[in-house]
Amino acid sequence: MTEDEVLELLLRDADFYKHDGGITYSGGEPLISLYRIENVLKRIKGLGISQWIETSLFASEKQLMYSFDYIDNFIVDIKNLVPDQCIRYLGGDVSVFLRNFKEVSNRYRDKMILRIPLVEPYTYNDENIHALLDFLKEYGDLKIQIFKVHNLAASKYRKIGLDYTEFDELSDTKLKYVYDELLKNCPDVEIIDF
Amino acid sequence: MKIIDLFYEKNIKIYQIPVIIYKRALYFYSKHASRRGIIPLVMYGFKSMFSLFGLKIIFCNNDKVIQIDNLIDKMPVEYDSQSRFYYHIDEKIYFNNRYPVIGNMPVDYSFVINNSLEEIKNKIIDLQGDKNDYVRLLNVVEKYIDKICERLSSLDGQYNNEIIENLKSIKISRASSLTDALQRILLFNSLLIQTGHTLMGLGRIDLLLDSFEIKDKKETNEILKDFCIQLHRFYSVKSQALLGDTGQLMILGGSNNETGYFANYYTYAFLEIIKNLNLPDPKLLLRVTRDMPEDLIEKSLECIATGNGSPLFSNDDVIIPLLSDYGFDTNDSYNYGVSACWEPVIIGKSMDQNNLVTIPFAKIFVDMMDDSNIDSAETIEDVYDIYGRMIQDYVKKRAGEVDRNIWEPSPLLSIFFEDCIISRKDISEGGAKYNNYGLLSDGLSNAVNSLLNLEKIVFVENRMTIHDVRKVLKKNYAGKESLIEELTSSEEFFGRDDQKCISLTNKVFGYAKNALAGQSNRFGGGYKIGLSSPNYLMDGKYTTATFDGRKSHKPLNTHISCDKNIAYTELISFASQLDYSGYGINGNVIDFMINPVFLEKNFSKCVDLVKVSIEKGFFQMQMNVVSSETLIDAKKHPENYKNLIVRVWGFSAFYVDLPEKYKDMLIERALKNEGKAA
Repeated sequence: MTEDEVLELLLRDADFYKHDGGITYSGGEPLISLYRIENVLKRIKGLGISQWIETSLFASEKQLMYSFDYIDNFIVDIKNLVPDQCIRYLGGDVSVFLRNFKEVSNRYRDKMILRIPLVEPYTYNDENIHALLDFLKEYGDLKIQIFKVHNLAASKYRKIGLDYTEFDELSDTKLKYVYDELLKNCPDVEIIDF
Repeated sequence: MKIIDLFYEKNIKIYQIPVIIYKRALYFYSKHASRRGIIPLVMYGFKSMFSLFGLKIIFCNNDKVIQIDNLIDKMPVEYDSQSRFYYHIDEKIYFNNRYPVIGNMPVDYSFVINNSLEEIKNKIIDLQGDKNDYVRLLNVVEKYIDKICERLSSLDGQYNNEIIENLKSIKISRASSLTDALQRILLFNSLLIQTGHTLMGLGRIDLLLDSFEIKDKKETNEILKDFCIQLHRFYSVKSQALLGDTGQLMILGGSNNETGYFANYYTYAFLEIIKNLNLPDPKLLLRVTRDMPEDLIEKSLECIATGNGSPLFSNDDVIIPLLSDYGFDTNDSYNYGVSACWEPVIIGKSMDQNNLVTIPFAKIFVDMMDDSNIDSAETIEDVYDIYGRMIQDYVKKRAGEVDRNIWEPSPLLSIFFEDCIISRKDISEGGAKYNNYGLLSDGLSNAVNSLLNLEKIVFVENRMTIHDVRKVLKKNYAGKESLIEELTSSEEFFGRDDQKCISLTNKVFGYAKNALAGQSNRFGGGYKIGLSSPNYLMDGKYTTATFDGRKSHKPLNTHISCDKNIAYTELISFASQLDYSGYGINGNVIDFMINPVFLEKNFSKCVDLVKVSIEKGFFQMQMNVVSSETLIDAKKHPENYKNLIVRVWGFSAFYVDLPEKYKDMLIERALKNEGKAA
C-alpha cells in the first residue's frame, strides 16, 4: 500500500478517535518500519489523533528515537529476559531490549503499559518468570497486563496456506500464579483476554 | 424432522393440535365448499373434539362485537393474587378468526389512559350516532370489567380493593394514578391478545406515563416491576415463531420535535428493572439521538451487558427524516414506534403490517445462477442487470400477493385509531391514517459477497466461467475446499468500509426499493422494505450454495452483520453509509455479538462507540452479549443455564428454549466474533 492508501484507511475511523481513541501501530515489530510511513505519522499528528505503538523493543536505537517524535504512548511487550532463551526463542538480544526500555520509560513512565504474553515454555518457565518478576520490581508503578497466548492465529495461518502447530494454552492456575506474584510489587496489574 | 422437533420448534402444545387442524380445515372448506353445506357440520364436529381437550372455541360471527361478548361470557376470572394488577389470558379459549388478524404493532394506550370509556363512547356517539359497533363493544368491555370486579370482591387478595377501584375507574374517569394507567394497558392488552391479535407492543411507555407524578421512587419501581412481571405471564401463548417472540416491546426515549430529547424517570426506571429482572420479555427499544444524555447510553449498556439483548437502539436522527420523506407527516414521524421487532410505524395512526414477506436476496442469486440466461453475461454489469431484473420481478410479484390479503375485522383494535372512528372504517378496511405494507429481506450479505467473488474470479481474473461456478454450486463445493477458503477470505465483502462494497450493497438494495416505487395497495398505502428479517435460518434451509463459500442449506447471515471478525467500527461505518432513503425504511438492524468480558473491560469506550455511531448515522443496532464458552457449555449442560438469555432476531429468549440449530448458529457467530473460528 502507498502512504496515501494507509492514511485513507486510518482516517476512515477518524470519527471514533475523538473520544480518547486513536491509532496503535503493531506488527511484527513496528519500530523497524515506522520510518516508511513518515508522512502518515506527520499527518495524523497534525490532526491531533493519538498514536500509540505496541512493540517488543527489538529495534535499533535510531529506530526507537525516530518514534519519539510521533508516538504518544508505548505498549511494551515483555516476553523473555533470559539472554540465552531470548536468542533461542525470539532471536532477540536482551541487552537491546533493556537499553530501549530505559529510554522509553524515561520519557513515557507515567503512561506506558507493559504486556506479558504467557505461553509455555517460551515465556512461562521458572527462569524467565523469576527474571520478569525481578525486573519489574523497579517498575511497580506501571500498568501491567498479562495474558495467555491463544491459538487464535491458527485460522489465519491456514488461510494463507501456512502450517500451524497448535499448542496448549497456559492453565488458569499458572496464570493466576504470575498475577499473584506480580501483585506483590505492582498494584496495577490485570489479566486481559483477547 | 421428528414430529417432536416440529412441536418444539413451532412452540405447539398438545391441546392446540385440534385448533391447528380446525384452522387448516376451515381454510380448505372456505375455499372449496358452500358455507351452507359442509362448514357448519365441520364446525360442529370440531366443537365436540375441542370440548374433549378442555378447549372452548368462540366461533366466528359476522358480528365481531357479539363474538367478543360470547368470549367475555366464557372468560373465567383468574389472576395473580400477589399482583397489584388484574391480568388474565386464557390459553384454552380459542377465539376464531377467519382471516389473518392485524397485529404486530404498538398500541396507542394514551386513548384509554386519558379518557374514560364513558368519554370515549360520548365522543364516538357525537361522531357516529349511538348505534355503532364501537359503543356496543365498549359496553361489552364494561361488562367484562363488572364481571371481574364482582368476582374479585368475593375473593381475598392483598390488592383486590385497589384493583377493583382501578378497573371501575376505567369506565368513568381518566387514569388518576400510575397503577390505574398500567391496569388499563394490561386489560386492553389481554383482550387484544385473547381475540387473536399477536405481537402487540406497549408503545412509548415512558411518554404514556409522563403525567404520573413519582411520589415514592421505591414504590414506583415496585409497581413498574410488577407490571413487567404481569406482562411476561402467558409467555408461551403469546410467543409466535419461537418461545420469546411475543412482540411485547416497550419503547423508551425519543426526539421531540419542539423540546429536544424526551426521557423521564420512567425511561431510566424501566432500563433498571429490565436489567435486573432476568426475563427475555418484555423487551425494550431506546430511541437515540446525538442530543441524548450520555448517562442514558450508559444505563442502556448496563442493561445490554446482562445479555438480555435489550434495548435495541433506534436512531431518530436517521429515521425521522426518512419517515417524513417516505410520506408520513412530520409530527407523526416524531411519534414513531416500531412493530414487534424493529420496523418503524406511527403509533395510533399506522395500520402498517410490516412483516408480510421476506425478499430472499441470496435465493434470487441462486436462481439467477441456475438460469442459463446468465451464461450470456459478458461483464459483471450484465450480471447486475439480470440480477436486478429478477429482484424487481420478485418484489413486485410478492407485493401484489400480499395486497390480496383480507384482514379480519377488529373493532377492538380500531378503537385505538382515531382515524378509524372518524372515517367509520375498521382498521381492516383501511380506516387508519396510514395503511402501508412492509417487506423484509435476508441474504443480502451472502448475495453481495457472491457478486463480488463472481466479478473477481470470472470477469477480472478469468479463472472460471459462469458455467464453472454453476457446477461448483450445484455440487455444493464438493472437492473445492480451497475455493471455499478463497471465497471466505476475500478482501472485499459486505461489511467492509470500502466504497466498492458499499456501492454494490446500495445497488442491490436499490433494485428492491425501486421495484416498490409507485406501487400502492388496495387501501392506497405504499410499500417499504428493510434489511433485517427473522428468516435467516429458515430461508437458509431452502437456499442452496451461494458463491461466498456458504454451502447449501446453511444459515444466511443475520441482518446487517459480518462473519469475518471485523472491527465494530468498520461495520458501523459501513451500515451508516447504506442508502435507506425512499422505500428502505422497514427496519435495518446492525447485529453484533460481543463478548461480555470485552464489554466489561471497555465499558466507557463502548459508551463512546454508541455515541459516535449515532452521529455516524446507523439506522438501528442491537447487541448480543454472550461468550462462545458460555453458549457451548450451556448447550452441553442446559440444567446449569436455565436463566441464560440471548438475542435471537428482534427478541430475546432463554437459550435453553431455543431449537438446536439456533443454538448452533449463535455458537458459530460467537466463535467468529472471538476469532476462534474460520
